[in-house]
Amino acid sequence: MDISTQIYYYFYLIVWCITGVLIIVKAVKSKINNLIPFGLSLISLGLASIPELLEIDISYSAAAIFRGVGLIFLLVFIEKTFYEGKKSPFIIFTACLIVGASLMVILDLWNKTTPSTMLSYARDLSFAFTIFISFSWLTYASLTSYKGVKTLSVEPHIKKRYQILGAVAFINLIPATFLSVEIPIAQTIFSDFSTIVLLGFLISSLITIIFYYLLWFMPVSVKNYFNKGYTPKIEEEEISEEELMKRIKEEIGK
Amino acid sequence: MTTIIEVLGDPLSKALNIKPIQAKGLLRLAIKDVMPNKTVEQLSLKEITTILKEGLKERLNKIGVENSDIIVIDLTNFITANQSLVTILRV
Repeated sequence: MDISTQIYYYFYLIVWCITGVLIIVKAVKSKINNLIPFGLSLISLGLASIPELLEIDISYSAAAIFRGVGLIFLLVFIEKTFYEGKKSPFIIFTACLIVGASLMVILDLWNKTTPSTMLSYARDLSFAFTIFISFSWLTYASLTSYKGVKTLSVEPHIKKRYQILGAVAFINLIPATFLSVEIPIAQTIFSDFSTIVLLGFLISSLITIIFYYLLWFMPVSVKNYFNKGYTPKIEEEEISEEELMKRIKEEIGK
Repeated sequence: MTTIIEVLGDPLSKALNIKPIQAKGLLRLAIKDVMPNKTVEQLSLKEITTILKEGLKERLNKIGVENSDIIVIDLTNFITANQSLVTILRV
């Protein structure tokens, strides 16, 4: 394994696991249970780097299992955050993900016994498919939710978070697209295309992690920046419960 | 800081034709009735819908609102449709 690939896997392992743990700590402290699967997803995706770094015979298959589990946690987060009590494709997408991850393992093990370009390509396509399923759904869920929220009178930094989540999910689709055409392009047009794919994954990981920090740990200065020009309604008035109920009764009776 | 009270207060004030501050006050009372030990920031989606269906409905009946059922259903549908706010507002 060359040094740039090693850096990529070490970065992925350390940064994603730390971010995942921080998100879980925040979720537990604030009792936001649906955020826990999001943190677990990051940890599982980060741990997928370990078998890759070990360079053992079953590295790809072991990593595929970690990735599959990580993406299933991501689906759980989407379901619990955007679709609780609503119709959703959660079961179908989870089944597709399990099939995709299983195919990655089967095709990799098969490729070990009878190596072929077709098998490697099918394996990469399965990996890209699992990313497409989970991140397309995240993109869709966050952007449709943003559409519903943008007209409400909430602080702009809240609305911005939906755009950040949608953007970060979309960005993850780009290297997956590269991956799904890697082998045909590398064999016909550009032999060094694998380096571009790796670079794509590295850049998208960097952007993803920065955006995740902005999303879940937004600093006050950034909040203030997004809230520029927004004046919150100040309408506090100390009145007793009886007085409030009386006033509402009068208002309704008008 | 925006809380779920502000988010629900606006549609409730429109439904009852009262001032937003009064609608928000009504929601605070409903929370106090059903979940007295919880702060607004700690409420989950399930708890919010319980507060609307039990606490708010009771308060609306007390002040003689006739279509309280419809108002509660509309508010529950509204928060279910925008449920991700329950998470995003708390981080």
